[in-house]
Amino acid sequence: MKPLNRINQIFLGLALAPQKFYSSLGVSIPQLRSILTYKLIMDDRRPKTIQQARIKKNSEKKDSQNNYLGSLIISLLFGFIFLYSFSIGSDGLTKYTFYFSMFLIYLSLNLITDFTSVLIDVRDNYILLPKPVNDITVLISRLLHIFIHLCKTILPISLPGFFYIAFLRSWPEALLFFPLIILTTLFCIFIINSVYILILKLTTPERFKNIISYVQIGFAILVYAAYNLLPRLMRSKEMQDFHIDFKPFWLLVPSYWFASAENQVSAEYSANPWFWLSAILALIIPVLSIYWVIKYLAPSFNQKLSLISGSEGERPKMGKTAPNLIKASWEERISGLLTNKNLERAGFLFTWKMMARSRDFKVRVYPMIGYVVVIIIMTLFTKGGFTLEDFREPFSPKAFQIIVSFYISGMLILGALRQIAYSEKYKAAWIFYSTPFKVPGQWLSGSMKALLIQFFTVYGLAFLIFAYFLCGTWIIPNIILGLINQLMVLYLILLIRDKELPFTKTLLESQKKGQVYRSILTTLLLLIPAGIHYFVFLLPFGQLAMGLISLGILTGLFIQLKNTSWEGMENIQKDF
Amino acid sequence: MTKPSPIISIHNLYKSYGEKQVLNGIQLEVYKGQVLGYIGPNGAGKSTTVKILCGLLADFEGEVLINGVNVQANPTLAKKMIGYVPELAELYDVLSPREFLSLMGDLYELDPVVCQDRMIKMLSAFGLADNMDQRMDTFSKGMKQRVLLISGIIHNPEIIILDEPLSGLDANSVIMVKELISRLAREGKTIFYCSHMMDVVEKVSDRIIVIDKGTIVADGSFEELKRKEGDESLEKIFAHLTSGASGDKATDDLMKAFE
Repeated sequence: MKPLNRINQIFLGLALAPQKFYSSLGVSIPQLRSILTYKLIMDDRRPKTIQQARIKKNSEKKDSQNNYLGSLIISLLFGFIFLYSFSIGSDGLTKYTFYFSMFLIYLSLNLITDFTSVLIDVRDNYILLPKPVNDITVLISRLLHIFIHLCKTILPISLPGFFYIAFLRSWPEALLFFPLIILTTLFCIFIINSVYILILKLTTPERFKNIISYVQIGFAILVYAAYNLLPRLMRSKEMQDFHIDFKPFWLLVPSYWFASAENQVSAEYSANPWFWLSAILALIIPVLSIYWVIKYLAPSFNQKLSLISGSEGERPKMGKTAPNLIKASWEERISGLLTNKNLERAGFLFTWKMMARSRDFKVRVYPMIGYVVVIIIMTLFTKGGFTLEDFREPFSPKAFQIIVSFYISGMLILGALRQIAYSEKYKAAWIFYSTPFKVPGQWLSGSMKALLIQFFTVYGLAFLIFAYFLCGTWIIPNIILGLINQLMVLYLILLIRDKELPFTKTLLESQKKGQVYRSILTTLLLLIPAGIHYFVFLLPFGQLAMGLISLGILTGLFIQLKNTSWEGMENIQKDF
Repeated sequence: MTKPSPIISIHNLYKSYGEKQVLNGIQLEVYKGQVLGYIGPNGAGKSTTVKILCGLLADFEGEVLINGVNVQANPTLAKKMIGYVPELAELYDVLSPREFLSLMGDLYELDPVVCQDRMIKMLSAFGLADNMDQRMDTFSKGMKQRVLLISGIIHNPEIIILDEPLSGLDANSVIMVKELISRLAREGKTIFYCSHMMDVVEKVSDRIIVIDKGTIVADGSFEELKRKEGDESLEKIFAHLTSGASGDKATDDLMKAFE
């Protein structure tokens, strides 16, 4: 029995309905059904990017129906977020343009981040292509697979929009809405297909995966920022009064076509031929582009894919030219300045390189940079009216918000610290257990330094300059005090947590229970010195005193970390 | 003439994973310069023995001495004398060979200059001179295996433990590694060679240990084993000694499936 869930069964039935048509193209229906069935089963077992943070532990063996329900709820949620667009602008055309833009961007990003591994599954080359399956069957199975995936996403996402339009705008607009959504989706398939072709032309599959992971990072930040900042932006008067004046270049913007189509059936319709032209483009372009995909892009895509042929990119050629001499890279020079013993230096270099190069680490940690920036913007700029002058005045409570937001940025390091023990390559950690490695504290110290330098120097300097221009010189000693306090708390947290070597644990372990509470607690720890700081932020001598005390504690913690022995490390039975 | 003291000695070694008893009283003494072939079917306890020798597993019963150093009491000192090349080992493959081997050198507390010098020579000998600064994520299995081999000998250890070191290597490299093993043995290094490939074990080892279900079932040179078990190939001797059904029966059963 194939454990295909009800929802997938329905969509599969729907997709396979025009059997006669497929047969006439030369598709083998039993093969097509089988390929699609197993592709759908695989989809359900694969965690979605957006859920990864939360539901990963469930997705392992849990019922696939739950997995789908999860993504259904998330899609619905996004459907509601899209409704914000109806509060932008003063006319329907502007509102719809924003709605369709959001829809198009979300759908494209969602397809690229969640579906790429499926579309560019090189295993197809070993598994499907050597079997007696004809090309057209493979092609149709791929397109139907995308179709089913999209149906599952689009339906919940467009429902809130549909009901909004039906109840608060007009029925003709609501009736046109679903056809337009389908056209938008077709256009979206065209966009991602073109993007893939382009990227595959320009780069190797290995690099391609890197590019995808940057798109994922950007996507996560965008979603987070939109969710937090959009509602606040909406309240501003400018956004409510804004409207798009027609200029011919708008005809180049796809979401404008769909918006004008909606507009032409609404009460605000215009006799201006430009609007009719734009509305017609909404109907013609998606159909033409999807025809182009099936006729030209998809086959050449498949061809390109089979050329990759699972070789995972080009193997470097082995060679025997005379070895070059070592030149010190700049991270090596930094390590020379900041670390002393061999082991601390090695820990610094290892962590530095792994952080900069591991795709899985970057995907988990880089979005946090975005989150922290969004949180800071929120704490600084959202509470009602204020002027920049407020910040110049050291006695105003506004000014202290700058310092609080600096403390908040310590969350970034905390987040990175929480993730650093985990790695996809955790099995490679055998080297730490088979070598005579005496004081792991040295290693931890080096790796902490690498983390601080990599994540904090640029950010800290940028913050210092930003704060200086906003507030003037009085802020500088405060920022320095804040820095010392943060370092103190970060080293304290490092010491009281289970101490683990970086990049040695499986990602599954990061889903252990109680992690959430622990992370909330550690975040609160960051804010305690911020509270004390409040009392001294206008007293230079107070700052000096607090700074010296913190520096003393920091030094003590630092020495203790460095001397951590194996007994002080978290004891785990390793499975290599 | 007094017998030299063994460089590896294992007494009454027992190890279990929960209910499952993996090692059942292993007794073994290995002497300097020996090339020991350690063979056995899947699940016989080969890898467990190796992991205990390397100090990766610390909770076992019995005594394991490396050159007189107790592995349980002083793992760091024991690890210093061992070079370990694990089977199908994972590497931090976003690093380049130079970076990975420098890291290994640092972990072994090797002088960085010596380490650089050795690694360049070794990488060149393995034909990887041009690839020294490329990330290993694009490397083939054989290329990674070469880097691993180097990582096991870069600190010039007394004992070298190899777990299936030939997997992924092409024919020429296999010849080279076999040659390397005998050269290292002539230098007085002790080699602990764990493998499934009987033909290689037969050729490189001067002493063969067969284990099955956690106990040693045969110990001796290939000639001695042949004398004891009848003049047969190592493969045949292996099939006799271990509980595995004879190859003939298995193939018979397979062919019957078509009937």
